[in-house]
Amino acid sequence: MGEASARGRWLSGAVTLAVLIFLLLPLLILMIQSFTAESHLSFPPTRYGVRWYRHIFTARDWRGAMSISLLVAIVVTPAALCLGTAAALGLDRGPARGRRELYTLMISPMVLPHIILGLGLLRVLLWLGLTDTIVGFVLAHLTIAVPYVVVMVGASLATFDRAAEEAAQSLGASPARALWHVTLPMIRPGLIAGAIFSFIASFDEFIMTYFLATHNMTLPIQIFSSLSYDVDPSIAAVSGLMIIVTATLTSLLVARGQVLGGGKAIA
Amino acid sequence: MLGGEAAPARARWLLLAPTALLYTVTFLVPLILLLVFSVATWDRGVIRLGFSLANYRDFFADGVTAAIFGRTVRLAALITGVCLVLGYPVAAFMRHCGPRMRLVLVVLVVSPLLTSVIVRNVAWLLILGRTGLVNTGLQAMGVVDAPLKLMYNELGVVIAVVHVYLSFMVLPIFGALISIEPALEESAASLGAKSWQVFWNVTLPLSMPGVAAGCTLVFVLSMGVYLTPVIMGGNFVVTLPMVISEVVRNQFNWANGSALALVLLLFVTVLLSASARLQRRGSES
Amino acid sequence: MTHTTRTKTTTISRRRFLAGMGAAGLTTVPAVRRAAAQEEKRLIIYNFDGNLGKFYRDHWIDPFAAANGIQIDTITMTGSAPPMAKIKALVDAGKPDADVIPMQLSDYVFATRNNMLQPIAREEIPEYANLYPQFIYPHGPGMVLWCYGLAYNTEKIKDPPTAWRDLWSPAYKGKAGLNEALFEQALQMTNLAFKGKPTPVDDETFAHLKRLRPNLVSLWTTGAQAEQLLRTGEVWITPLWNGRVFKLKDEGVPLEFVVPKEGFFVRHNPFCIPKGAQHPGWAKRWLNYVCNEERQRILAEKFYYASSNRRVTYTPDVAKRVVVASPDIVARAVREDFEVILDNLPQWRKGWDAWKQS
Repeated sequence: MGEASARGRWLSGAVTLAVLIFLLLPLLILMIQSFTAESHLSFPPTRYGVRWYRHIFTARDWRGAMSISLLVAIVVTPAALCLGTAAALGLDRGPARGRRELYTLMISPMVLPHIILGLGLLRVLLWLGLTDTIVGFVLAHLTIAVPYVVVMVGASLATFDRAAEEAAQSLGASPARALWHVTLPMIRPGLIAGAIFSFIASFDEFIMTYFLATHNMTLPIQIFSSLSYDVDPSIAAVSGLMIIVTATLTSLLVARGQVLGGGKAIA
Repeated sequence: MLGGEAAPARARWLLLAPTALLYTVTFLVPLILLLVFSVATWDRGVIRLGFSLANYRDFFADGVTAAIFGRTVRLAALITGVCLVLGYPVAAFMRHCGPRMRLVLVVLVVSPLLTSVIVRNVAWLLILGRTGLVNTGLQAMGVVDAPLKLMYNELGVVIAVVHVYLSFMVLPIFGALISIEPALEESAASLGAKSWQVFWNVTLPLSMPGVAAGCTLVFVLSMGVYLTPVIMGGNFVVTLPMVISEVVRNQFNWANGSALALVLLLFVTVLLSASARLQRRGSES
Repeated sequence: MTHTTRTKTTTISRRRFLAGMGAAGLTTVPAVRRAAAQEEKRLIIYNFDGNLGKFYRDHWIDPFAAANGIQIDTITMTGSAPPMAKIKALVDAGKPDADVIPMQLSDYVFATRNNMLQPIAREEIPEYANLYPQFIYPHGPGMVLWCYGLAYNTEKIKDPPTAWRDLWSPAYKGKAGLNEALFEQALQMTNLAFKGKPTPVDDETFAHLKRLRPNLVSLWTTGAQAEQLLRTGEVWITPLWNGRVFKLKDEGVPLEFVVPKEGFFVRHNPFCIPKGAQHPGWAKRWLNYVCNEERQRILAEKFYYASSNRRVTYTPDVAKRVVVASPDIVARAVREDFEVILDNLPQWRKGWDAWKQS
């Protein structure tokens, strides 16, 4: 197309590289810092070791927080998938009238400041007696996870070719069977992306849970609480762990090419 | 498809019902409660229910809260601007990559979301502090004599928030860019337009829906930042969410806090609907 | 008095044992004993998190539980502040989730105004006789005294500060810190420095505060943040509580604590019993136990929190670190009126936020 556009390509490439360094630098620092053997944060560490990883797996408060975070996220993810997929299907298959308004309504918790959600939810849960319970956390996290599923599955559905489903139905399959055996597999990328985002959204959620929790602490709250007393490298080890886990999950799926296969949306 | 005209509508409501039920409990009812509290009064630590617009009046009258709101808006605008300037080139670059590379870039761009907000801020402490990575490096290279003040001010907050919300700008713009027919750009170029003219007159306008979507998303998310200004702004940077939290947690003033939260909600809602209308008009033209 | 002691001890004569129990504050008045006997053998306490919480478990909770054969459960408070909104909702519903709640003084005012606590008569806690009167509240004893003064870096600052006013010195430009979480104390401190008394907070206060702005690097929120700032040398001087300063000093950070000339603040936690608590009898017995000089002294030695118990004796080294080690020093502490503070908190907060933006 000409050297001018090649120049443009070079420019955008340079900016992209700079941006990527900017995005990855803190994560890199955290990973390095997590292997410090000292008792407080300072970069670069002078001595290395896995002391803090061992600490977070043995210390009672960290283990407790990790279990609670994991438990909540594991409950929230499939629930969000069910609710969100149903909602996305409802929007996609339903009449076009009102679709846009309903869609906005469905994804609104994702964009609204969590402090508003947290404040209101606290009052309701206070009344129901569900503050500081796993059920309460699940309700809060579900509210912000479902929109992610609606967006991801909705994007997949939008680019999904109905022909296959129609063909299955014309061959005698009931709508439900067609859905299960034809549609769902083909929108798998959306489902997986929705699941990943749901999990991460729940695992990382801080402010709503902060308003609700007193005794049961999720990982982000435990991190915040440990910041109140001592800034020790536990938090670096915890984030190192979170980065490793989510990176592994994502790269596994990327390697199988499943995340963004199919629809025109991204790849 | 599913039989009849009424069936799709009915099926839709049935499918939306579970989510609607969830939202009613966790979203709608809370909002109503907030509304009720926002017209209550705070009497030296005791909340008295009733009807009083004092909290809303104070928002505009006391001079401080409105100013904080204004600065929150300004901060969000700044963050959005930076995200746009950095994010558009990344999205453009991704457009011209192969599928594998795109995937890698998407994952990298989204990676800051993999970490918890507090932990990210702690990492920034180590990088931007007076004795942090950047300052040590710059001083070692002789670029500066004294450490730069990169933290405990608006700059630190902007850097940290851009870091995490950049992906919300990149992905919508990217989505818009790849839906542009390359033929349009090629024909413009073949008619003699220079590449920057092609970009300015063809690519950019056609990518506007994505730009609008990205900007709206980043702006609204930035209006809600709570923890980052506390850690990165040295508490000098005050945002409305911080005020809401302080008022409720330390003053036990649910009345005032609810009113502030609802004003924020109203603002965000107005913004979202205005932006949606803009995007619709843009994509229709 | 019957105990089931599950502790492993070698043979101790019964009389000496009882005498020891008395000295350790484990005996109490008959009325309370009777009340406790009617309750189930259980107690639920709101506990601090971190090392302080661990200390309480080891020294204040487990020994009492073992000596009395009761089960004590703790609910950890994040950030060592009780969730007052939640507690209020539970008390209003008649079902508080704990029997003893240590609260901050502002929480205490809120709790009393909202009728959340049950009063404790003086006779019900014999140890009250040994406490300084100003730390006895209608709803419980105030304990865990900490003192707010100036912390400064001895390596960077050769001329030690002696007054709050020294914070304003141009020598500390860009080197000072303030506690954002205790902003009301910062306002009162400014008043102490320039007006001689902590209140009222008015335009003059903020005018003085404005002049401090160039000196300030950061308004830190948590003790850990303050530590980080002091360790890295970003902050050379800041108001800080005594316990933290000496802890850092022991870890090798070159810090020293100064009790400012104009006066210093002493804050503490009233330990109270919510209305409708299930085990008030045991709660009062436990409160009596922890008020005892032995329990208090251990706390002072470990965390440098002074005791509200007059009879506690400190070694000279601990006395220096604890600061409020004797009645005359306690008398010199600046009294804060928390009713006034809570009443004015909204205006003070707005003024503070406005000052930050300028």
